[in-house]
Amino acid sequence: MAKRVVVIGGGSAGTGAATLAIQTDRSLDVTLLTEFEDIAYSPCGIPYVFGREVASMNNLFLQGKEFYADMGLKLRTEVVVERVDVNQRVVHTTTGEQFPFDILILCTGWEYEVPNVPGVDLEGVVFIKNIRRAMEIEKQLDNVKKAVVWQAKPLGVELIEALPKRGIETHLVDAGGWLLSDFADPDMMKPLQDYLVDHEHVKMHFGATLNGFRGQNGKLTHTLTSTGEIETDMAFLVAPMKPATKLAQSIGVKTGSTGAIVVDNHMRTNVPNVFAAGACVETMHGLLNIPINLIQGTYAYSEGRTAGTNAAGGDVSYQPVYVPWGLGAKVQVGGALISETLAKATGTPYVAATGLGITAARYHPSHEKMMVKLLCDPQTHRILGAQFTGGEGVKERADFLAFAIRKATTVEELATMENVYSPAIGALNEPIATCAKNLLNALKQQRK
Amino acid sequence: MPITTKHPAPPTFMQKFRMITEAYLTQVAQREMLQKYPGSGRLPAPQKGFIYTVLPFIFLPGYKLTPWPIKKRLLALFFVHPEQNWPARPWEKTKGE
Repeated sequence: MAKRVVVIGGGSAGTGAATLAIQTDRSLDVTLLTEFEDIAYSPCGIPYVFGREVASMNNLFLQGKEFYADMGLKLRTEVVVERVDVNQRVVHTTTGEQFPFDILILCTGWEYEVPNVPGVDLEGVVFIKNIRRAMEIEKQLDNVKKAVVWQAKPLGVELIEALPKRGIETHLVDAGGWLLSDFADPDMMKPLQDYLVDHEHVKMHFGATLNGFRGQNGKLTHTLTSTGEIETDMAFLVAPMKPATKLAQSIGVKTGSTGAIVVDNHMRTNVPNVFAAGACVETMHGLLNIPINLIQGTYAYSEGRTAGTNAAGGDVSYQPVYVPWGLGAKVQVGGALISETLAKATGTPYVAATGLGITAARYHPSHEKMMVKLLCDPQTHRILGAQFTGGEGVKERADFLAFAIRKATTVEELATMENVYSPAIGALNEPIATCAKNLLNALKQQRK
Repeated sequence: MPITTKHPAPPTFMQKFRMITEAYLTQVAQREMLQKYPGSGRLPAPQKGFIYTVLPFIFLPGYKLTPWPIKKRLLALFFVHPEQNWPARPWEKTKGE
């Protein structure tokens, strides 16, 4: 009899795990169970449909269900798992169905932690996650004049960039002091913040806590914050995202200090024949050497692929992460963690410097400013983190720096890096190298 | 109540400890950043709850005074499980050679 693999969860991790399991060993009997109607779509693209940069939610689907069926995958949508019997190796659903397995892969993802404030159940208070719900919200947006986005996390920033494009007066409410203040630095976020205020007319309410919502006839009319009330037709709650681990814990799977599942570098849990991947697991940070919980699809997908390959008998090792990140359109921001804010929070010794450069030759019309900040270890001069603010090329620089950090690159090496010089796409002086030279000077100053 | 895939499990003591101290240390760092880069942002809203009134006295001084190598070991001791011995980083390999 073919070995049976059951994957619970149909997000990036679940889809990646199921497809890689079947591609690694075609003889496997692979079943994917998801409580939602769809799989294999990009929820990260939802704000861009709201902003009409992407024409339709349908464009966010990567593959149709037939694609997976043709591959030999048994796909079961709208199935809620009630419990797992690890001794008998059977998954039980709420409808009484049973799915026997030899190997189980948990990709249960994350859930919003709904804020405990009055009025959160009013019509017009919404969360972004499921694409079908997002389609309904999309239809309602034409009647929305004023919107509030709660929390300046990456999804929140994407929303405040998108909603003004629909002519919606957009307010951002955040207890922090600047955009992405959990991990990014204020000096590096300021250009994006200024752009959103000056050009998109976003109203920023920083240092403001969410106190609740008020409505009329069950419909939202006002958002209540510690700094005042805001007239609101729709409120988008970018609430804290928590790993969904209740099912895992019920079968004895260990969770770590972030609340997510503990896995080794092969995505194996402590329970034999049970793997886990995606937003429900902990991933090791390469520099801090502590586990972190990452929600982004890029990690979910690659971890899912690792789990699927190993579950099918392969041998793939997942690497510690250095978290390249980036967002924005007209003004782009990004980096590789850690930031100066995180260095201060963790107590990591560092020296930092900034450098200003341009993305193309100064006489070429496409050139834009590029601000770089680098952090290094004062003893070894190893790069610890980077941030970028500017025009085109932030993403590529963030990816490059994350890899450079992984390879233990020093400031001296970056200061003498080679770079492309081609008037339309690259300036004579690469901004990263300029910043690295400034960092060398800062290190010299520190020694004096 | 049936267990579904929808809900996070309630946090353990260690998970709560990490969540609270991390949020607190991040806010301390944010305040320091605003001192270093004045005008680049606003002061974060004060954190609510008794624990945040005592952390500045019972936790922060010790955390700040602990040297980084010891702090790093303590973090690993508290937060890293034996299964999480992932591949060594390049600088760790060099050190071991």
